[in-house]
Amino acid sequence: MGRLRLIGKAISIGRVTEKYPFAPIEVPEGFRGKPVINPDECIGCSACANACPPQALQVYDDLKRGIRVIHFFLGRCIFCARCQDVCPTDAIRLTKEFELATLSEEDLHQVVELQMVRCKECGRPFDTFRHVIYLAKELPPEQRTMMFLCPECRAKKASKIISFAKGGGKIV
Amino acid sequence: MILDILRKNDAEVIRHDERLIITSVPNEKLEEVAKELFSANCYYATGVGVDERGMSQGFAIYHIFNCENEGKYIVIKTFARNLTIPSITPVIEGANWAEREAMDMIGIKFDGHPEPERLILPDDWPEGLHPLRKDFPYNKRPPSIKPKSRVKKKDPNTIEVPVGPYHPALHEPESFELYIKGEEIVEAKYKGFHVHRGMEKLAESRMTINQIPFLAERICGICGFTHSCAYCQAVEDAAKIDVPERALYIRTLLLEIERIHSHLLWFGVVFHLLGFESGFMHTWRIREDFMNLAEILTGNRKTYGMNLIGGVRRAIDESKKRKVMRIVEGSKRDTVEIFDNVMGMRELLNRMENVGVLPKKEARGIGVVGPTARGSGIDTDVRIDHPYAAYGELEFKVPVYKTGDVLSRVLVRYEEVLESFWIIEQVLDQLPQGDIINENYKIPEFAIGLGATEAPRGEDVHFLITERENKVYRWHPRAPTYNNLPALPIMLVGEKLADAPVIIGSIDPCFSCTDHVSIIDAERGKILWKGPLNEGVRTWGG
Repeated sequence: MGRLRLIGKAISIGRVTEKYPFAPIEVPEGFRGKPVINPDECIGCSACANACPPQALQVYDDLKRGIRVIHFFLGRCIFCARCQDVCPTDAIRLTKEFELATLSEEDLHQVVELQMVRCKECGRPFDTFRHVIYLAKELPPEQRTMMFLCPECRAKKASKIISFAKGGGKIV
Repeated sequence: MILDILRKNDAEVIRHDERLIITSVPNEKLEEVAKELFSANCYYATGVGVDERGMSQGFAIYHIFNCENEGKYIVIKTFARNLTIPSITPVIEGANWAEREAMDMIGIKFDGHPEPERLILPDDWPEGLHPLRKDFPYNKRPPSIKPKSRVKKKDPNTIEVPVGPYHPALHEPESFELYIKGEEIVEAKYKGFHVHRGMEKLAESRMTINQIPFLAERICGICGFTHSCAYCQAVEDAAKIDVPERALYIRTLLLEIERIHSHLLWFGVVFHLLGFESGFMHTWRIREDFMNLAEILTGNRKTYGMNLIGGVRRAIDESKKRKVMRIVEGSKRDTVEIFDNVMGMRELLNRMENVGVLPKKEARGIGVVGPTARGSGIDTDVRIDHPYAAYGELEFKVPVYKTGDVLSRVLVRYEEVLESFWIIEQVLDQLPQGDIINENYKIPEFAIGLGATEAPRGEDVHFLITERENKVYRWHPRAPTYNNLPALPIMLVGEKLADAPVIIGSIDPCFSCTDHVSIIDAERGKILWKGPLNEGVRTWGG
């Protein structure tokens, strides 16, 4: 008896499989697909690389050329969207794209290169222009003078200023 | 009661609150404490070896007991003396694997262990190298050595057969050796840990505390969310982080969606193993709705990626709530209709009744968990015994069946699915407003945390010690199948070979175990079949 009723049930429901891949398939809003970096918005702050659990996003500095490289490798990506969460400028977004099979490995890489600022004192590149400008907006004008110094030179200069102030204006 | 046992045996209580007791027991009293706790109805959850040279003195083992009657977990810490700790396996059988794991990975010796052989490390791994020690670099690859030949007693009726090669396509490769006489299984042996993924080492050496939830989620391809929940709970316990109520309800909702999809998947596979393909199709059709539901709520069908320390990442708005309601209502009707039909099929019930019986006493000794335990008459469920997420505020029943056969494990899971529908309805009804994550916390150094959840397959325990700079010093997850697998030989012996697939399947061990089987004629010692179990049974099972 039971079996006959199951057949009836199956007929009343009809076909449940989708025609995919011969017909497109819809994914819902908020689907976590392939991440894409918008190179115009990216400031090279490395927040995404710090958050990325599988280290699919890596940031390194090419000091010779004065370039910061943001390298995204899709082959390691786990589509968790942590990069999208932490990006301060919404430069990296997860798209709805999920058909990612490819014959060429190059399709799995996205590289963004950003120009770096050289330190006014020592000449070493230390941060991207965009990140410095982004930070400048947060800083009160009197603190912006040291923005173009690398962290080491900034520390040296700051300690000089402090000791100058402590010595009542005389250089000690 | 528990405190009396501890006090009597010179234990030093390090932490004591309503859900956890952490205590330090001297070396020579360990066996006595373990024995008394076991007879006080505390069963053995897991054991964790820790290289504590970075935080205090030498090496230690943490034995974790689940005292469900008192709603508490007990963590018993014992330091090794000259790298040696007395074994508790002679008094609690369930500690066998945990102690051998600590022996392999940390290098602690267990005095009096009945079977001190390698469990996890491969045979060609050099002696004296223990990968979870802190001075062992995570990327070191030691040269392989020539494995020692294992000399075993020869039985004139049987022959020793190497099983393999292993199939890496499924995430949990295991192998069984079944010895048969005619059609009856006379002996069953299990060999596991072929693909050890080194997740603990990876987490301890390379990842930060908020990245590990995503690694924990990948422990299991079916019940990953429960692992990331248990991990987050362990950190929240160690750092005393308050999680917003709304986040706890959202976790509960997703945990139950995961349970429904996991159980429906399991029904499908069991029906398939019994040759009942239309049942398989119907349960998987219903399951598909829950996969879509997860996609709408989290952005993906599986690996929800919703958990972070302190809460969840996505809220559930009104329109999504209505969608969940609609799908749950329809699926509930569908599930009941299908199962009313299925449970009336005598030919199907005959294949499951009195097959693969696991008696309650043996089940308790091994410490089986989840539906496998509940099918053997043990009333255990982490959701009731140690309420987490929002379960403390919800109402639901825990089905328990006494017969201990395959059918009882099916019925337990069926009733659990119905309860899960009811839990989801309650969660949506009571879903509180407010924040979904609390990110205002500091991780203390060397704090111990324990997180436990009821995964679809049973109790899931995560033990954790924190470290500076948002790292973990030690993280040990224990999945339910770890406790359930040692029960399989008991279930298999004396059964017909043709029933082996469904018996192995009945503990829901992610099913990679249906592969890699040798069928051996116990009288002539001849290998009849080597390969996928299903085909073997079709060829030799008659």
